[in-house]
Amino acid sequence: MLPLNIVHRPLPSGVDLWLVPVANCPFVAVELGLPLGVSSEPVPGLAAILSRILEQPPTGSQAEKAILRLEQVGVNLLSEVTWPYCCWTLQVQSDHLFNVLTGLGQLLRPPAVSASTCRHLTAKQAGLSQEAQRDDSILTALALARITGRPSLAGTTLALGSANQREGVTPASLQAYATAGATANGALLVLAGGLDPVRAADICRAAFASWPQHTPLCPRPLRVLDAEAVWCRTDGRTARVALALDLASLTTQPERWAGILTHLLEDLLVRELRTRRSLAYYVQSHAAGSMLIAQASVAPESVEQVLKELEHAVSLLNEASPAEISKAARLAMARDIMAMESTVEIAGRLFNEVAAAGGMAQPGWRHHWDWLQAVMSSAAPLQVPDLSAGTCRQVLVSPTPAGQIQGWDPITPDDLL
Amino acid sequence: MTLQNKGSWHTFALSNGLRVAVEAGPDKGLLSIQMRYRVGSRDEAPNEWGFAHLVEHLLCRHPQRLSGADYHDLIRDAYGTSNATTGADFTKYYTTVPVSALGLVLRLEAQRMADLVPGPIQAECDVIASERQWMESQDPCGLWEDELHALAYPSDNGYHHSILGAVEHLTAVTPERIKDFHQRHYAPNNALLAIAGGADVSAVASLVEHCLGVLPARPVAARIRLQPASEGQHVRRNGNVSMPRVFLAYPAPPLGTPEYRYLDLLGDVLVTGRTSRLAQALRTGAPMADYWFRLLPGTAASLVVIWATVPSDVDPATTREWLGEFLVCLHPPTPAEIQRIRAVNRLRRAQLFELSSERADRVAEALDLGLEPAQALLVDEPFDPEAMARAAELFRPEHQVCLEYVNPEAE
Repeated sequence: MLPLNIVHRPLPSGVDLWLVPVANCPFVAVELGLPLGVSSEPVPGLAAILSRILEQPPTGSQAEKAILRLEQVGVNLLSEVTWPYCCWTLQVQSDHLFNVLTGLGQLLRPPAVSASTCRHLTAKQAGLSQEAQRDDSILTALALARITGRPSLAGTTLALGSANQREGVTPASLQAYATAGATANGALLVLAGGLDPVRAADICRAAFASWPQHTPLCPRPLRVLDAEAVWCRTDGRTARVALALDLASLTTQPERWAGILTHLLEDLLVRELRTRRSLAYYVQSHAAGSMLIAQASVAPESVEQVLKELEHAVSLLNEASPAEISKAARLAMARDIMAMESTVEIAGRLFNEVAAAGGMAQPGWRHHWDWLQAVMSSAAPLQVPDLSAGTCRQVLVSPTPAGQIQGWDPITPDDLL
Repeated sequence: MTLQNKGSWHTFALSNGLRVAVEAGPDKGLLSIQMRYRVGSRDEAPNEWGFAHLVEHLLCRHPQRLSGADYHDLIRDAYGTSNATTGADFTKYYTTVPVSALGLVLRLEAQRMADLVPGPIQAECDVIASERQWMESQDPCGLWEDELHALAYPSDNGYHHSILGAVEHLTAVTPERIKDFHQRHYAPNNALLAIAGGADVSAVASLVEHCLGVLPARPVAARIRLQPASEGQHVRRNGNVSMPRVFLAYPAPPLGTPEYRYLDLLGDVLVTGRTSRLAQALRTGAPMADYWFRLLPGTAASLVVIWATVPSDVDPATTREWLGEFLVCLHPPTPAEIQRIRAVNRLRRAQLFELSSERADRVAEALDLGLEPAQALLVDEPFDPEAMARAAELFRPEHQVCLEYVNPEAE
């Protein structure tokens, strides 16, 4: 399977447009990001509330009519708020692309909102925050983001905001925020599927031609926790343990190595923690940029043991043989090939990659594949780079541990939100 | 064996009874393979609850006789992915691998079919116990499907008990009993094989015959006939829920029937998009905070479930009564609704069927239900407005099973 043909066509309006034609695909997957993410919200939770308002505009409004037209052609519009963006995801039959993109342009306008709607949505958001405080996986993702300074590790959970910080959500603040963020420059648009890049670029140019163009809101930095280890104390019955190894300091290809090592790490963890010792039901490892993440869902009394096993597994990576590395590279490549069966997956991956690079970098898939091929076929003995140069951090989300874990001062779930 | 062309799918049967479907097409580098057995939790004897799921775990995670390593490891070594699922009516093993590994997968499937090396049974039972615990810990309503099945079906109905089984039955399992369960159900004449991704059909057919044709057919335990669903019930459970949740379930047609398909479409009328019935109801003040729709399929009978979360200032009884009344009074979908849901389904199916693993799954299921592969993979399915109207009449209160989760501390 050949790498994809990725076309970059920034629009005169400032929209950063990326296109991926996929042969024989009857639909187009669309990912649109507006600079209305958590990083630019003046009040915690505002971005999530605004996305809800944009998703469900007032009855009888032009925006509502736009949504109804979209739904009549089968479009199910979904939004989510991440650190940099409010992201809109949809799939549309290729024939309907122009009408749908034009409809999107009409939809995403600053709304008029009543004070009662504001209060209602604020209360609902506070409820979601409270519910999130019971969810181990959400708390772990937040803790990993705050301890590493990488907001992408938190996904959409940073949009929850603290249950206690809702002052300032008013119709005026919502309007002002929406006006400032609904701008063509600062928007990221990815289309993948049955499309002709030239024609699709023309459609996008026309659909977003009348959008305002002004300087997007200035993003603020992520609030980080200055610690190597974080324990978030909960009332639950299970614990979640996570370890994050940042390979950014490696001199060669840290992101590529993270992508390969995650497969080796997951193998080690599943074998040891789940199959051999039944210490964990859920075990997972993944790479996020140059970061290698491993986590497990365990009983609170096993926390200390599992933390040690995670550290041990990471140390074993240094001893991986060239054959194991080559095999892991093949597995990474096979996974990429499998993922690219899905046009929706292609659009999502491309969007995330461009967003993570601040919209500046060329997508690295072709180079990534070239590098994997080189690793797989290298005649020279391969050595895992010295991982001791990486920075390791730990996260524990747990009720009071049964064991004595020294030096772990607990924080509350609200501290993470 | 005789090849029959079903669009791009070719079907045939080996002399030992194994039914096979292969997708013809150019080599795209990957194949998805599903071996599906007609055995699930409904086929377990009254003292065997959990055996089907336990067999699945043992066949995946422990070294089997010929290979010397566990199945998942071998597939990973071949740069593939694999997993398995046990349902009430089936157990399926699905694998996606580079084309060059097809022979390996078929040999491993043959070995799984032929014999079971039990391995450390108790360790695997511990994993299953922790699976249940984890599901409960992640969500206070985490076992709602099991609870609804237990309410909807009498105790002598195969759909009554959980796929995870009963602790007392798993504790009493022995290597002999689990091997016997395997022998009674894992036979070529009780299995279906689907291979998707595009292949030279003749070459694949020869390979299948070579790897799996040598296994003899075996007597298979007859499928236990299921008793009808129970009459309406209402149960309230206490749990650490932040917002109460109300589940309403109703008997539904079996999977694979036209009536089931229209009920699935009705779900989109009810919940998908801003113009769905429940979205509109929410905007006009319905006593709920959120809602969803699920079909719990069964080859003998299904359940249709609609649930709602209850706002903090509302009595769960109010939500329950409102939702029940709403469903009883459903009018058939309008032409505009029909146009919308057909468009939604076309897009949804077009996306799903991009994935070879999804195509293999749908075709294996189709073979199990006696349907044509091409029928299972239609993007734009035929539509009968009268059948659609009949689907809206299913929500009879006398058949309703209601399960509520409330938090007595919050109350």
